[in-house]
Amino acid sequence: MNETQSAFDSDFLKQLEYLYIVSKKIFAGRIKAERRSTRRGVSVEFADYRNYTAGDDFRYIDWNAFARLDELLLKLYEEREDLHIYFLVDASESMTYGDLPKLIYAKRVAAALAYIGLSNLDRIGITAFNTTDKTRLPVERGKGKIFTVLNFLDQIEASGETDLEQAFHNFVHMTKRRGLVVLISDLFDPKGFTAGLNMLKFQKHDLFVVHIIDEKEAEPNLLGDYHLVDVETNELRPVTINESHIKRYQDLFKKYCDDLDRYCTQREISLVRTMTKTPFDELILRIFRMGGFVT
Amino acid sequence: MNFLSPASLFLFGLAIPIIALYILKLRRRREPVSTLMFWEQLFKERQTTSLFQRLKHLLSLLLQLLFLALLVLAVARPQFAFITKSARQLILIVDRSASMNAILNFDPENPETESRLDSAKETALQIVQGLRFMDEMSVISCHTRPIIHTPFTRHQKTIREAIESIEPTDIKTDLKPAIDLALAVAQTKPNPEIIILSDFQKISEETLTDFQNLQSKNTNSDDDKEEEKRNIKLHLLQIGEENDNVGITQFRVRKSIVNAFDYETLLSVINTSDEEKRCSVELYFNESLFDVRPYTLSPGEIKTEIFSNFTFEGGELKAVLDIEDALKTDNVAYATLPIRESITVLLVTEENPFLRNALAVDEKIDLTVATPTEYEANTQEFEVVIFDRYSPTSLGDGNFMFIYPPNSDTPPNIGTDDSVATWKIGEEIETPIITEWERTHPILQHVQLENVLIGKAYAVTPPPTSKVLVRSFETPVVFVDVTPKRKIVFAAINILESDLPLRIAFPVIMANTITWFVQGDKIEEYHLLTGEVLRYKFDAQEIAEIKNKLPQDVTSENPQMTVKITGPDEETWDIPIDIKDYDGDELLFDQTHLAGFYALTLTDASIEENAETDENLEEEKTTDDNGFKKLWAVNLASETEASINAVEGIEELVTETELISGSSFFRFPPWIYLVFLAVILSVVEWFMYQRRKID
Repeated sequence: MNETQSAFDSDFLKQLEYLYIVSKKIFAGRIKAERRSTRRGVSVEFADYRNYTAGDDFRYIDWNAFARLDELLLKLYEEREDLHIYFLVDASESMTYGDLPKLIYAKRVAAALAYIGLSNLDRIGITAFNTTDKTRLPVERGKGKIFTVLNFLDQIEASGETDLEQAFHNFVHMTKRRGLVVLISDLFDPKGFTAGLNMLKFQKHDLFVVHIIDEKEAEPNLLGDYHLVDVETNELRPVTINESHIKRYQDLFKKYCDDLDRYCTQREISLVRTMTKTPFDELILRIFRMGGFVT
Repeated sequence: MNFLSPASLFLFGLAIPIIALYILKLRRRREPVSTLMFWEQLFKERQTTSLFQRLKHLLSLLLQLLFLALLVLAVARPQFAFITKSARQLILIVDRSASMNAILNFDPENPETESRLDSAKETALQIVQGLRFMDEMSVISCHTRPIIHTPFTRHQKTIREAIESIEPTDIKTDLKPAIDLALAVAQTKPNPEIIILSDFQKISEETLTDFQNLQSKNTNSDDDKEEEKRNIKLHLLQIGEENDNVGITQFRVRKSIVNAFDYETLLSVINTSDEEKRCSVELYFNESLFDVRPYTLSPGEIKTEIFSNFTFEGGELKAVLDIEDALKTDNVAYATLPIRESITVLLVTEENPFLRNALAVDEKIDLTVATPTEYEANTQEFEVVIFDRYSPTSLGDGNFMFIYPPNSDTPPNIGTDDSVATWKIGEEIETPIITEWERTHPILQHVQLENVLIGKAYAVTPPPTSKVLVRSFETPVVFVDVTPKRKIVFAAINILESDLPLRIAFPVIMANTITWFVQGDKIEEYHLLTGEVLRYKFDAQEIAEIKNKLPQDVTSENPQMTVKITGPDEETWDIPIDIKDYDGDELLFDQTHLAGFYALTLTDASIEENAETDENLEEEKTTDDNGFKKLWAVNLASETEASINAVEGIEELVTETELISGSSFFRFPPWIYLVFLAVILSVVEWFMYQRRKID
C-alpha cells in the first residue's frame, strides 16, 4: 500500500484526452453535449405513442393516427437534458489493499469517466464515502472543471470501514436530482451490498457499478499459520490455512461475485468487475464498449 | 530388555527443549487482508470444538515426543532376552566335490550351464537372506577334507562373500570329515543347526545312520557328547536330480611288464546309468588325436583296456570320452608319458659278450665298452659305469655296478669321505644257491632266480647302509648301496661261470638296474588323484644341472630360484627355493583341485625381478630357459564319483529350504524397526501437518 502515491500525473492527463477522443468515436453520430434520456419529453425525436388521457396537451395528439384509427394517441418525444453523473468512490481502509492500492485505481477510473462526462457537458458530482469521513464535490459542469475534480480526487484519503447502506443513505438525502450513479468500490461490506444498492435503486438513480478487486483477494497465496489482520477494523484472526481452505475461500469469493452479478442483472444495474492489475484505460474502453455508462 | 548403549538414553533430555519450544511456539505471521468476511465464513463452516483443538495441539506434541523416544531407543540399541536366546548358530556345509560340477537339470537337447554347485551356492545365499540378525553362520566347504571359509559371524556380507568364494573342484566326495568338524563345533553352541548342501551321491552307511539319529534326536548312548548332539538340528538339502553319467575311472601310464623300456596305458570307463551307452574314447598325444576306440557299455559296466607299444614319448596324453552327459569332469582324463632319454653306460671289461649283448638290447642305452686300461685313462663322464671283474682304484660320484670284482683287501677308494664304509670281500663260495631275493625291489622286478646255476661267487660283507637283494642262505650275494651322491650295485657272482646270462632274467635284471640307476620308477609319481599332495624332491643331479645352466653372476650372487607350478586353468603358484642351500627338502603342493596337467618349472628369481623393469631381460628370460620342467597328470578317476545320483534312503531325510529360514519378524535388529517406525511417524506427522490435522 502506498497512500502517498499520486493517482494523477501528466501521462494520466494525456491518457484522459486520448480516452475522450476514443469515446467520441464510439458515440459517433450522436448529438454532442446532449444525451438521450429514458424519460419522455419535448424534442424533435419521436419516441413512442401513448393513449390520450384527460389533461394532456392537445398539441401532441397525432391527428393522422386519429384519422386512420379513430383513436386519440399522444405522440411522445425523447426528452433531452444535461445528465447528472454522481461518482461514489469507496474510501474505506480496505481500498488501500494491494500492490497498486484499489483507491488509486478507483480515483483514476473516476477521473477518466468524469473527464469524459465534463467534456460531454454533463454535470459531475463526486462523493467519497467511508464510515468516518464523507467528503463531497458539488456538481460541476464543463471541461474546465476537470482540475477541480482531479484535485478533489487527489485529496481523498482512505480511512474507516465500509458501510454501503449508511453511505448511500446520506447520499440520497443530499442529492435530489436523479442521475447516473457510478459506484466505484470493492463492495466488501460485512453487512452485504444489497441494502446500499437497493437504496440507490429505490431513488430511481441509474446505477453503474465498478467493482474493483485485487488479485490477492481473489486468489490469496497464503499457506500455513497466520494472524489475518482486517485492515479496516484491525481485527486479528489466527488461522492455519491449507490448500483445501484456499479452494474453499476461492469458492466463497466466486459465490460473492456471482451473487453480485445476479443482483445487478435482475435490477438492470450495469456492473463491470476489474482487477487492479488491469490497466485503467483498458477498463474505461471496456466500459464504453459495453455501453452501460451511457443511459 | 537390555541396551547395548545405555548412555544414549540421556538423549531423552532432548524432550525438554521440544516441550519448551512447543510451549513457546513461534508467533504467527501477520497478514493484512482487505476483509475478513470470507475467512470468517470459511472458518465458521469448519469450526471445531475447543476440545478437539486442544487435542490437536496435544497430538502434535505427543507425535514429536514419540518420534524422539523412538530415535533415542534406536540409538540405545535395545536387546531382548527372548530374541537373544532364540539366536541360532548355523554351520553351512557346501559340498564342492567333482559330482557337484554336474549340470543341474541336464538335457542333451537344451544344454544349460548351471551346475549343482551354482545351485547350492544360490540356495545358500537364500538361507543367508533368511537369517535373523542374531543368527550366526559359519561356512564350510568340503570335498575330501573340510575348509572353513568363515568362522561364526553375523555379518551377512562376510557370509555371502564366503559362499561366493567357494570354487568348484574335481576332487571326490567325502562328507564325513566336514560333518565331524561341524558336529565338534556345534557342540559348543547353544542352538546349533547344521545345513548340508550336497547331491549326497556318496554317503556311507554309518554317516546315513548318523543323519537319521540326528534328525530323530535318537541317540543310544548316555554319553554327554551324545546328549549334546541331541540339541543339534540337521538339515539336508539335496541339490540336483538323477542323471545318467559315463566317466573315465582310470587313466595311468606305467612301465611295461614285459618290456622294462616300454610303457603301458591303462584306461577304465564306467557306465553308471540304467541304460546301455555307446560312446567312443579319443586319445590325444600333445593335443593330436592318435586313436579312437568305440565302446558299448551296458548299465553299470566297467570296461578296462590297456594300450602299449607307443612310438612316441615325453608328452601329454589325454583321453576324451565323446558323450554328452551331466558330469563333464570325468569325461576327460590325463596322463604323462615320460621321455626315454638315452642312457650313457660304460662297460669296463676285458671281454664279456653276455653283458655286452644284454645291454645292447635297448636302443636307449648308449653303450661304450672299455678295457680297464682304457678306463683309467678316460675322463668322460657316464651315467652308469659297470665294472666287470674289475675294481678301480678310486671311485667318484655316480652310478656304479660291480660284477664279481677281484678279491682284494683294499676296495676302491670311494671319494674323499673317509667315514663312508665300504664292502669287504670274503671267502670264495663254490656253487652257491640263491635262496632268497627281494622280489619287490625295482632291480629284481619280474625276475625269477630259482635254480640259477652259479659256478663261483664269494661272500661279501656289505656296508651297513646297504640293502641286500640276493642271498645264498645267510651270505649276501647281491646288494645295493645308496648314498646321496652315489648308487652302487654289487654282484658277487661270476656270471661267466653261471647260466644266469642264458636266462630271460639276465637282460631284465640289467635293464632294471640301468633304469633304477637313472630313473628309478618315477612314472607313478607323475600321476595323482585330484586333491592329492604333489611331492617333489630335487636330486643332486638336477640341482647341479640347474646351477650349471644359470649365468655365472646369478649363481654366485643370488642363487634364489622360484618353482612355478602352472595348473590346468593357467593358474600359477610361485614357491621360492634357495638352490645354494637346498638340502633335499620335499616340495609339497596341495592345490591339485582340478583335473589336468600341472607343470613344475624353475625360474631364476633375480632374473624375474629384474625383468619387471627391463624388457630386454624379459625377452632373455623367455628365451634363456633352463629347460627344467616336470609334468604331473591329475585325474578324478573315481568310480564312486562317477555315480552322480543320490544314495538310497537320503530322500527321507531331506529338508525343504523354506523350513530353514528364521522368523521374518526378527530378521533385523530392534533398532531398525524403531527407526522404521520413527520414519513412518515423521511421514504421518508431515501428512497431518500438511492437511492441518495438527498444528
